[in-house]
Amino acid sequence: MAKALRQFRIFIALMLTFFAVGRPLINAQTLTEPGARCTCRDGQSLEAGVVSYSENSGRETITRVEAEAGGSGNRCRALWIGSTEVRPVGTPYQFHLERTPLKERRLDGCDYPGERFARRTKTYEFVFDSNTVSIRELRIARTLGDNQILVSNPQVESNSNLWNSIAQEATSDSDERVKRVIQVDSTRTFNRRSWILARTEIKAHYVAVVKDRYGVERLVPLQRTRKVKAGQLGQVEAVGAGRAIVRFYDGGRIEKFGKATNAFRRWYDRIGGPYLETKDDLYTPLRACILEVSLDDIVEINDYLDQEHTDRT
Amino acid sequence: MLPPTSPPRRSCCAWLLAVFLHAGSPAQISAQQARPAHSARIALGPRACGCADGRHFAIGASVFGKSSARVVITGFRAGLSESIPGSKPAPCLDLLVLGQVVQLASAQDGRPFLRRQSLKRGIIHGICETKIQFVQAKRLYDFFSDGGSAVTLTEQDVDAPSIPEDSNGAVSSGPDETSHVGADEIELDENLTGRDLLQLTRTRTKVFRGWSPDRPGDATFDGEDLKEGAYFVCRRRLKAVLVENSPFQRVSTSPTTAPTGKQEISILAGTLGRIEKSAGFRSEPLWVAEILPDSAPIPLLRSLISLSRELGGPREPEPPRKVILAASDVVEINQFLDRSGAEWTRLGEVSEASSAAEQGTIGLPILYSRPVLPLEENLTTSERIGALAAVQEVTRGLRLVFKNPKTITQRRTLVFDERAPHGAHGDAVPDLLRRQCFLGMDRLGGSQNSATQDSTRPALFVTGADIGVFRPKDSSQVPPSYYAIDLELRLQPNFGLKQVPLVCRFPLASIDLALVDMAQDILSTGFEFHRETSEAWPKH
Repeated sequence: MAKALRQFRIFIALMLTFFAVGRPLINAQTLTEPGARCTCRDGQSLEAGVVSYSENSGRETITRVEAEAGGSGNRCRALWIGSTEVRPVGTPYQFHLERTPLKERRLDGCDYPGERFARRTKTYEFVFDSNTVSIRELRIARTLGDNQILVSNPQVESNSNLWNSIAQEATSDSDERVKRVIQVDSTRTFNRRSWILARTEIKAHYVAVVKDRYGVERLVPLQRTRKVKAGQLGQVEAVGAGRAIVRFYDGGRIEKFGKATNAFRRWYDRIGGPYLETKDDLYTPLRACILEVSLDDIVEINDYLDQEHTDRT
Repeated sequence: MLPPTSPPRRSCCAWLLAVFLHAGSPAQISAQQARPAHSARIALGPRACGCADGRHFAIGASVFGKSSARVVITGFRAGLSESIPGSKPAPCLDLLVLGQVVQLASAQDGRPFLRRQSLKRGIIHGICETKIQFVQAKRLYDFFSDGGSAVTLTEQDVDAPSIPEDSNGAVSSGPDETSHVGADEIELDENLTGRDLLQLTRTRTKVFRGWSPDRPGDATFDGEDLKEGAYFVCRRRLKAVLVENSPFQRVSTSPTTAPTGKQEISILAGTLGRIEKSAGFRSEPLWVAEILPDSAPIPLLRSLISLSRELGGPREPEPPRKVILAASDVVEINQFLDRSGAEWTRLGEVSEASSAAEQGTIGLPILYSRPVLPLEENLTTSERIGALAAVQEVTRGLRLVFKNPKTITQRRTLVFDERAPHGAHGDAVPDLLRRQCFLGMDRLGGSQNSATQDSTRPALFVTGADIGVFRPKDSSQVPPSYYAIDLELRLQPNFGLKQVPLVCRFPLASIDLALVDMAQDILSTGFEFHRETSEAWPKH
């Protein structure tokens, strides 16, 4: 009887332990496969595999999500975020890139700006009349600029108060626009200072800045071209519609693509060469050229390293 | 970043960057410019717009205020619906303008020069509702065509003073004024006991007597550039009648006395000055003006002489002198700066080039990246300019002729991409960040009429157009601020009974007529574009 009672107590203890520990273990599941989703309280959906880019091709990836099964789908319990950073190693004339993984972090709940993350692929299924609204049907909200028009009365503006009639609003070099253009778009692969390599040998145009008679500058491609060898490393200067301005570095050709030539120059480069320090926020202007290329002709360095299953060029 | 492995040589780098960023003048650059991608349809836009009351506003037109301050038109926003090629000039909505002032500055060697600064860049909203008037430049200076005579004086120039001896009352008062100028002159070796040295210093710093920085907002702007207070540059070497000298003038320019007794001085080409007041009119306006003798570039021989003098110590700057000048002898400073493509009259000063070099290439994204408008602002602007009506107007009557007739047999959605060869045959993959066109050939089903059986080439007629905003729901591929502008065309094939939809999707694009151009660029790999006459326009 005593033995049976002891067995019963052990059984009860095991049951209590199971209810205390085991149930959450059953309900909480760690999802690591790409596309595994969980939902935050604000309705935002996050999934494993989405990435967020930062300066110099730094990248954060949601490696896995911990989710709790609920009535309205998987509720995010925690996010695991892996980070990497990319650094040049060597001299500006002979260098390679190394990607360093940082310690993986676990963040409880959705205590993280999830809008910074996006799927790497941008392909989608096109359907006519899906998620599209005609501008005729859209209610147009007045912008600040129009409000200014309503406040000022154009009829009292004449040559006697012409100078004060000029409304200084968002121009090409306004602070707001500068901030908007320069800041890193973490959902975009190509940003200023992103490391890239030439996918294949390309012939690209040099660019120049011209200023019109009223001081407005614009960037123009020149007739002069330069061949960029496959595997040449560079950093993005600016990104436009389907094209980019890239600073390619002579010293940064991936060894797989390059070959050892000019031993004396290699020795000179190794001991330092004519290195110059600049205020610029890119690598170095020396033995570099700034060219306009198509985005189709370049590969972001993380994509290349992922594809090659390596962490250095 | 790597630490420097050898001592930095910043100045050299700055020079290299400056050479890169400003390699040549705009004229040189334009000669080297490559033909931009998609340039087939790029054309210069209209240079002027107009209002219903007859006022016209052209790019480059200026109005002038005090001290050569000016407001110049750099661009405009015009309504699109009435700006179709072949119709009347576009109606003005807003003017883009630049407010500039001219300031007197002093170089390190003490020589004065003029510098133009852009203080205000902005917009004048609803210009047609205002009473503001701009005028085209009345006179066209040709400063450089006179360059030869500006440097080399002919005998005629030397002999003939530019101001007639009996020009008018203002000039005739000259001898009286100059007669007592000599009494006020102070030689450098004069005993200065009892004189206020601070006042003397101030007199030298304050180059123009009575000069004070003007507030451009206080003045009325009009079309006259040469007027009281305006800065100018002398076009050529000349002799001018001296009206009055400064109290501290040092006689170094060897004024001569004309046969009539009026004192004359030689003025070098390039001398800067400021108009003080009108001196009447004799076949052209005459001005009493203060000139700065030190501002002109010195001829080689004189510079060699002055070099030997400067060995003995620093040279005193020459004070301004008041003379009478004819309007044809001078060029208003804005005209001169516009023609020379510079913003200052003195070379070798701290220029924008050096500051650009210091900045490196940080400014490139601002120049290169497309301005992405927030959606609300984009919609508001499109409504003001009448973008939808303009798009419907320019697409009406368009006929898209298949380059490859076999394409009409396909019954799927063809996807054309902005970048061939991916989208050349309608085989591209839909991508949220690329400009693409989608043609719904699957809507045709099995219908096919007799049009394809004769010699008529298969084509699609535009029967309607609309603009939409595409925003994917719950997309984890793009940020929440993402949107795309859809140009939607309804097409009637000549080989089928059912209509075919065409959607060209442009991520984060502005809503304007450029949508049509971009759509044509993308579709040009698969179609030829023709415009139908009214007789051929299909009735549906």
